[in-house]
Amino acid sequence: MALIHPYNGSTILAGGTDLLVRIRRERIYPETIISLEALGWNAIRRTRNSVEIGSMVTAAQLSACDCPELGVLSCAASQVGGAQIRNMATIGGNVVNASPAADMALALVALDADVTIVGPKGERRIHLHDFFRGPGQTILSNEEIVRSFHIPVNHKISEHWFRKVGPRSRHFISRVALAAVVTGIKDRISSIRMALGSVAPVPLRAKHTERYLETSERIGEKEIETAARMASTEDCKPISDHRSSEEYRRRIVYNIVKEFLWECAG
Amino acid sequence: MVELHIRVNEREHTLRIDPRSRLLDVLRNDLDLTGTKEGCGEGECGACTVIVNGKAVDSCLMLAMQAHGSDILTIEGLAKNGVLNSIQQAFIDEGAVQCGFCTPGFIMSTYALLVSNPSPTHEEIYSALDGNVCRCTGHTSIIRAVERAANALRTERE
Amino acid sequence: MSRIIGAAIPRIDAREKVTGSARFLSDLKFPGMWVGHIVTSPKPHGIIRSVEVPEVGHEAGIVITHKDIPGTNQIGIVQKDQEFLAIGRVRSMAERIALIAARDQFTAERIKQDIRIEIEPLPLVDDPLYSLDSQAPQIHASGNLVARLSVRRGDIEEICGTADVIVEGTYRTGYQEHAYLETQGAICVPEGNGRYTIYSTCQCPFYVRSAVAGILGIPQSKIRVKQTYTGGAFGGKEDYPSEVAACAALLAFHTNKPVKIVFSRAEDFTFSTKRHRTVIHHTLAAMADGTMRGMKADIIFDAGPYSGLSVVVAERGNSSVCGPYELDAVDVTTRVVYTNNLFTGAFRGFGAPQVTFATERQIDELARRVNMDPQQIREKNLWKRGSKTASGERLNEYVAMRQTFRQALRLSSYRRRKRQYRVGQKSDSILRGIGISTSYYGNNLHKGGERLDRSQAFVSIQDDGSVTVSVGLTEMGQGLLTAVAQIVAGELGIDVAKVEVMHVDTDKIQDCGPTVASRGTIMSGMPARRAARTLKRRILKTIANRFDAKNLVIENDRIIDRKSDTVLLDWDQGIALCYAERVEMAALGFHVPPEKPYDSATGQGKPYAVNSYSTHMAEVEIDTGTGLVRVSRICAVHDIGRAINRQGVRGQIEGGIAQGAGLALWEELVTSDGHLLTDGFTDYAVPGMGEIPEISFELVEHPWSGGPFGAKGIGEPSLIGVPAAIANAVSDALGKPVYEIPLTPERVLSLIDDNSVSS
Repeated sequence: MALIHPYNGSTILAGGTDLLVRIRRERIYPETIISLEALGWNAIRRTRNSVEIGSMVTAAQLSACDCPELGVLSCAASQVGGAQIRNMATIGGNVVNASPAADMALALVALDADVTIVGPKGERRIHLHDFFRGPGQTILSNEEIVRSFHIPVNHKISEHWFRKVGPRSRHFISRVALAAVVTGIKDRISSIRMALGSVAPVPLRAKHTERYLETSERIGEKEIETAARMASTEDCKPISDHRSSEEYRRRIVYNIVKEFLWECAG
Repeated sequence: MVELHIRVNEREHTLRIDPRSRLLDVLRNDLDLTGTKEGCGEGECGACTVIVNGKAVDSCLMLAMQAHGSDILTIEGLAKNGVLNSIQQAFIDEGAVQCGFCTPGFIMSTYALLVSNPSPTHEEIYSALDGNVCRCTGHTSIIRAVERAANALRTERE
Repeated sequence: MSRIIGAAIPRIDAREKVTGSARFLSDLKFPGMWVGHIVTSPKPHGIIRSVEVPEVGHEAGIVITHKDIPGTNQIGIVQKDQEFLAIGRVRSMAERIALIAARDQFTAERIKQDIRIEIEPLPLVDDPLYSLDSQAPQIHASGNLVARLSVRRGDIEEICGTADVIVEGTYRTGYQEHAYLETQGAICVPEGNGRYTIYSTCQCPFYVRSAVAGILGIPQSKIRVKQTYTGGAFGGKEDYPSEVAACAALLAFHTNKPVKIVFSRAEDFTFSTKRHRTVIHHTLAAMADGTMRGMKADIIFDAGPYSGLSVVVAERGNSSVCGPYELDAVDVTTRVVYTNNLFTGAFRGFGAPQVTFATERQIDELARRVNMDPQQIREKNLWKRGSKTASGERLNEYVAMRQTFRQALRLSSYRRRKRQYRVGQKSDSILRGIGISTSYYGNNLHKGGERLDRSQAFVSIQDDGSVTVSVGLTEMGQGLLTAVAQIVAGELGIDVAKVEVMHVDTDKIQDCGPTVASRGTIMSGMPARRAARTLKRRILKTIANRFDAKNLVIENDRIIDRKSDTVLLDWDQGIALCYAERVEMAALGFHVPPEKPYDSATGQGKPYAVNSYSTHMAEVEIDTGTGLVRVSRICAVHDIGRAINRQGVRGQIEGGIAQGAGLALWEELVTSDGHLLTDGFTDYAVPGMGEIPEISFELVEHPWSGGPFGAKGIGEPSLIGVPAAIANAVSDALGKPVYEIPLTPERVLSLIDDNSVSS
């Protein structure tokens, strides 16, 4: 996947799985293409407090990675496209492409990731949540590229969850997706992060639902029902398109949030 | 025009190519290796699958220059001295070939799978082949062929 | 012979396919070849106001419009309602306005970007029911109704009046894209002597030849069509390849260069034909004990902007809707209508899957109404020997319908599974169901296509004993070449490995009609067998004279004297002897099926040569959270006459199940205002490996005298009953009726959530 906005007039190439599709569809050939391959940003590194993932790390690498802190991300990565695409598609490309249906980006949002951006004025690090502006749009300027992602390590996370819903079993663009991480104590949720995909212009944290669950005394049938309804009404803004209608998307959000919470409740 | 160095089926090539070319175009047009097919041009069908540096990729989604200095295996590189690879033979024996257009892509994806995972589970087969589409067989015979090939290769190694 | 006929011999063209050495259309290159592109209408319906073509140097490229057609600007395959290149009016976004040829891909793209087309839009007709409204814009001067067909027998009003139960429903089926892995394409090579060679990935090389001759205004004898390895077809390469070939030919004609056109996947989705969507209003009259008395059906086929093959498809739907059931009265009206939507045409099943879905659903609804099991209803009403069909044909031969039904019930353990599902439906999140369909297929061309129904084969034995065969029916993956090789080898008594069967070359054989209607094995096998038999007689006569022997046979590559049970010669020696005696060592075979008596006004008579019968059973699991349906199991029993290649038959059945399941559940083409929004595999969900069910099947082999070694067709029967069985299983799981396919997750979820029953 690639950055699709010009970098000083050039186009950035990461894995190529989005860029070449765009070139083919639009028949526009960029004057210059700069490949990030040689920069070597393709490592996954554990530090004491975080996991650092280079932007050129592929979906296949993440899918095979044996890192419990990255559970939801590994799961998302394993369902990106088909096997051949997973071998080429990069996490950086997935994020910068900024599709509301992006799988890896969604998992990163649920993991509360930061992103390190480099440009001519130096480096900056921002919260991934602030990175997206709209479908296909990010806060990157013409001169910036994404170098790495940082995921804070939290040993108390008890549940990683990723579910992607579409027209068949594998290899599809999600109609609705849910990426979530939970820290629970008995039948209370102490902290939860839920990110919903394909139901808003950007990958979205279900903040109302999270707050409700975190402030609930317990998680029982009533709470699950309320949370699911909240997620499907207040925490998403789906549209109707040729893939699905808005009603269907809301319904699926309701159903999969409910399914997820029941799974958490055990 | 730019210069591309590439190693394909164990042969070195130095080519002058249009930089807009995809790896698929270079293989099919510059090297006349037409076994690799274009089914969709968008990475959805896997008919263009080749192995680049040990990994199965969609050659329609790769600029040829991305493969500069790389090692590439195509369908033409599988049979040795006219003797079919076990995967190729398994596809024939299980009736997993009908129109034949998806076949090279499936065989290459199977090759990539069995090299790294000689005893794949059903789930692992589905996952490794989820980037390939067949419209003729309904995939049933292809799964049989992959399992047959895995058995044959394991037997060969013993 | 039995060693070969019915064996599971690996196909004879497998090796080149697994090594990648088989050259498909896009693999072919010719010196000086240019690439061709098609420029289509930017709007779905309108008047062409202007077409601005850029100045292009003749060494770089060329642009062609309707003014540049030397022959006739008409490509309609049946009715002449379709201009090849648009003149005044465009009726869909697949409509061609200009053709480009250029020395390379990038130049062609640049030229294309510089062409300016201005269309004044006309109001759109995108709904087939609206199309019939008198207020609707008329898409053609002749009006929006293309054709009206009927089947009428008995007094339906009386039957409905005296019935205990009337089941009524309006059923809808969606478009389907063939999604063959190899897109459409053609190459035309001017040979320099006034002849043109067309390389075509196609089912019907003779259609291609005829179409190109018309566009170029030259005799067919000046055109040679060579069918290439064809990467899948399923009906989608029946008529459309003629249009692509004519584009390449016209460009070759003007440039005097070889021109190659290969569609991108998006172009293929947008331009080429699709399965018809239909609206079927169906009425079933029955008694309280489940006896079916009569059927009424009002069927609408959406032809899109041109009639193409739509009337032929409608003919099959019209004839087949009443299903394999004994009825006292039928009243079917089938209408074909124009719209500005997708251009529809042939697709495996050819109208039968759609009408079978409607009828089989009605039967299950009848079962609900009279509180019987769907199995019992079918048991009561299925055809048997002596039954009268909807067209009034009395079936005097053995009718395998009930045998396939019994075997399928046994194979699937239907009764036990159904009981298990009733009991086990505890888990809220997964709903399970089981469904049956019983269907039949009229083999070969409908009476309406009879004039095309003849074919020829040429068999030649070389002096080294090897055999070459030319037939006029095409290999498209189904295994036709292998079946023909087996038939010829079986007849001659030799090893299949000695027989080489060619792809169709129109210079080598007479017009054999199209490779459609599951007639491939029948129409290539019968003449091939005859030609082989002629040769065998000559060989045996020659050897008999030489050795003064009688009772000679050829078996296992040897000529044997049956009386003394001695081997006289081996095959090679026998052939050498014939050559020494200057015997004619090539022969033609010809087959023309008998005429069928049929009245198209009433739909009465014998519309098809013979029926094949099938029973399908489907088990499904529905995820109530998402509406996604998983097919866990399919059982199929097919009345196939005689299997020529068991591996090939299995391939057809497994492939037909997947493709039928796609039509039932996952494949949906979404259009909006005449624009196709799902124009690639990204959004068009062809079943993948994860979708395939467990498959069990059995064959009933009751040889048919009209087929080679008794064979009937399997290409389409392998699909036709599948969507109906799946839809019935979904209905069983949900406990409510189902009226529309595809049963996408969204549709299923709204059925689950919706507590009202719509009709």
